[in-house]
Amino acid sequence: MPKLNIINQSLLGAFMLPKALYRKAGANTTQLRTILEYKLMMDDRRPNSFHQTSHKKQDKQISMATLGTMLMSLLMGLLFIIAFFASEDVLTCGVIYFSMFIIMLALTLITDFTNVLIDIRDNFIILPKPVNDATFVIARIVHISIHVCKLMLPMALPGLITAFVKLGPIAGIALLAGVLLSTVFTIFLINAIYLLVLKVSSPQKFKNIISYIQIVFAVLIYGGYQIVPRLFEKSILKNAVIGEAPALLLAPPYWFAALLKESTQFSTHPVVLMAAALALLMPVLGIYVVVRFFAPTFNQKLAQISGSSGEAAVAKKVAGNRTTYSQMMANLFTNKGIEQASFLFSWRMMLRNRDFKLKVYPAIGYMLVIFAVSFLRDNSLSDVAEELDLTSRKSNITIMMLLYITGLVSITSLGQMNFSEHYKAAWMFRVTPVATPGPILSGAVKASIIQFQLPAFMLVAVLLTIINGPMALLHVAVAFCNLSLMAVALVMFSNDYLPWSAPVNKNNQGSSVMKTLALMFALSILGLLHSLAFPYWWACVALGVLAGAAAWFSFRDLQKTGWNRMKTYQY
Amino acid sequence: MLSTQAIAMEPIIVLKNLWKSYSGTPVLKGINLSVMPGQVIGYIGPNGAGKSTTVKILCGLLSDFEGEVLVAGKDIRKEPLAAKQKIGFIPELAELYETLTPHEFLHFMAALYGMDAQVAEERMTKMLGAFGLAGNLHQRMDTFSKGMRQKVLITSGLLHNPDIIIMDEPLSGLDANSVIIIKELIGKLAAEGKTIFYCSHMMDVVEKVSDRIILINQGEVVADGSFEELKSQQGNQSLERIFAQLTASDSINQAASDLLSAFQ
Repeated sequence: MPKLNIINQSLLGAFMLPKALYRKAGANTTQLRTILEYKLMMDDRRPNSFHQTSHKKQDKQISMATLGTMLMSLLMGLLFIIAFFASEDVLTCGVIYFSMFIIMLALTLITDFTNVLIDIRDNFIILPKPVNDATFVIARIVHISIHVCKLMLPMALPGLITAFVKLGPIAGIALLAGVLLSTVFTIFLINAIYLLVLKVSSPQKFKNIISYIQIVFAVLIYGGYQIVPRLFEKSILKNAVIGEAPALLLAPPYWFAALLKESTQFSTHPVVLMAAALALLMPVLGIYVVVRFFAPTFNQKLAQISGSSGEAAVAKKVAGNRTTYSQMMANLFTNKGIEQASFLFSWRMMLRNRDFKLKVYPAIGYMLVIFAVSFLRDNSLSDVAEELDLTSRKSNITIMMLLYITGLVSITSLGQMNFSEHYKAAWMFRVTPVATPGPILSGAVKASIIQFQLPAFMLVAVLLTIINGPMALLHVAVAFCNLSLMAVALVMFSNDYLPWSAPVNKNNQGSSVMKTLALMFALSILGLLHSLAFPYWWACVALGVLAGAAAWFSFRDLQKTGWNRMKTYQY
Repeated sequence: MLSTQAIAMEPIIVLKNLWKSYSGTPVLKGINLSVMPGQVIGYIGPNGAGKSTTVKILCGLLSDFEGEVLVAGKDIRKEPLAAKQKIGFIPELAELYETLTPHEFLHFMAALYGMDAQVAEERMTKMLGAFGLAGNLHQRMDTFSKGMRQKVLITSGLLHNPDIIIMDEPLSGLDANSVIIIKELIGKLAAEGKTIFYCSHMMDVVEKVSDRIILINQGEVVADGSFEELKSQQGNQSLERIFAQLTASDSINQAASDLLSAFQ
């Protein structure tokens, strides 16, 4: 008998109540319960979307994953309370609340829904056993429902309590109904998104597209939490009233908000009435569409995604010897041989490794959000131009930020490029006659700088040159030297794995947070030095030359790194 | 004929009194072995006998052992680079950076061996072509089957034209036709004077490709000789039977009966 924690136990108990109904549908309830017990136990040991790490055997065993997931949902739910204080207007509060709820629920579900929705092991383990179809299908439906409940209930709880206290018990019940209906609607939405993505792409690309969706969501959420409070400050939102424009009927959060509105201050406005009707109708319609039209083809398609290799490798021709951008950069910036090979290797891995992109691309988004936030104070474009004008007083800090914030992406990418789910492939570094790992490291650092730092700097350089003329390039160059120095230093002092050779391991996340903090500190020191030198061109030149020389010598040192300092997986 | 050659030539692999322990437990207990150029060694033994430990030591992956290991006359600990240059290693279904294409992966390997890119390009095109993978050269390996990956690994081990080829279960995942190719390849490589160190569980293949079979059990060599010699020592039976006779503590038949008795 699997041991279930109290939450799984009680959810399972609740879902097993309509036993007679299941039996009537043809299910064997003893088998049904057993299947569900084991599935829930396995869920408890699977890393969830909040850990975002792959599950390797040597990692600490995961148990109680359910509690972790629920706690994270609860924390998110607490943030939703802000919706009820955003406006005096119940309808507006409702729209904000349901927008957050639907987006967050969809995000958390998208990340790990495939694992729950379809478990290909079922094909080998359950299907060959004497288990009938009804039992199998009901087990799957109940399992999905339990999974969604575990995410949705804690996420909704803080909002429900707030609504009860602030708006009264009837509003609380209306919100509960809204939450349940919008959950059903969200599931329909995700099904539709999945199906759409599968229509336009192959199962192989599916995971990539899902991870891009995750990245965009992560940036949106970060941006939302950064920008919304600032909009509050500007009291744009406080007096906002969403109103009753018919176009709002196209926005699902509006339907569920209308439900809340009708329960507190009954409105006879046709748009609100209509929206409330849609809130009741659409989820039901959605479920019908999912069951009737989506489900049949859907399961097959999903089985392909989870399968080891969905479609057979198809031979294809690729144009021969054209010189690519990466090859050009490699020729320009690296020594022939191992360093160049390592540069190209890391360059490609950074572009193709899903985990890497999931960790690093959001940092690019965060960077853009920080820029946006810093210019949000300005009221016009000419204010922005003034902040970037070298001759103006304000420009020092803004330009420093513009230049050095880009370092965040470098830090993240250099920190992440050690890890790979295929870390065992690093045997190749050990069986080959490589005298020192130095060129492998320096090639990787250069790849990271050129792939991420250089384009960001080009952009900033163009922007500043347009406003200030070529003099601005001095600052760009100084900052580039400083950041390159930091990149080498980071790899020299902290990376004891070759690139792409360390197992993705969440146990060392604590130390990497410390590392990041230390680096942020170092980055601010360098930024501060540059800022002090800012008014004097000769000081900037001196700083640039010093940093550039230090970076140069550090690179040479890095290239001499010995094997004794490196850890690698050894076949 | 081999013995006359052996007198004339220096051994290409020498293991002298090789001991290796993992946290106090000895895995290899004084292995002594010398291999002549052009020999095909079938290195066999049950799970946990120390086969892969030997392979790791030979490839220079493990250096904390006792005893002496010479590869092409070079001490593997003192001159690991010179030794590694002579060795081509074909691991068993090893992990690959599968987001790379075979073309990219093999060029990277070639660079690590310090090979000229042009030479590498020609060889990999020919070799993958021979395996029927010419059209997959520029396709990412994440869509590849086990067999296709293994073919890329075999190519990566042969690309720098090594004198010694160490194979650890090289046939994993390969289909019957590819197995024939590899078996013939082993014969041809040996005829060119290459030394093959072949680790496997597949007795029927070892029996056919090896001209010398070394059987280890619990870290010690328990049999060493050609298949004919082993047969004359152990009675005229298949390698599978000889293997069982020398390594299984209890009768294998007994195990099967014990399994069946669970129903009673």
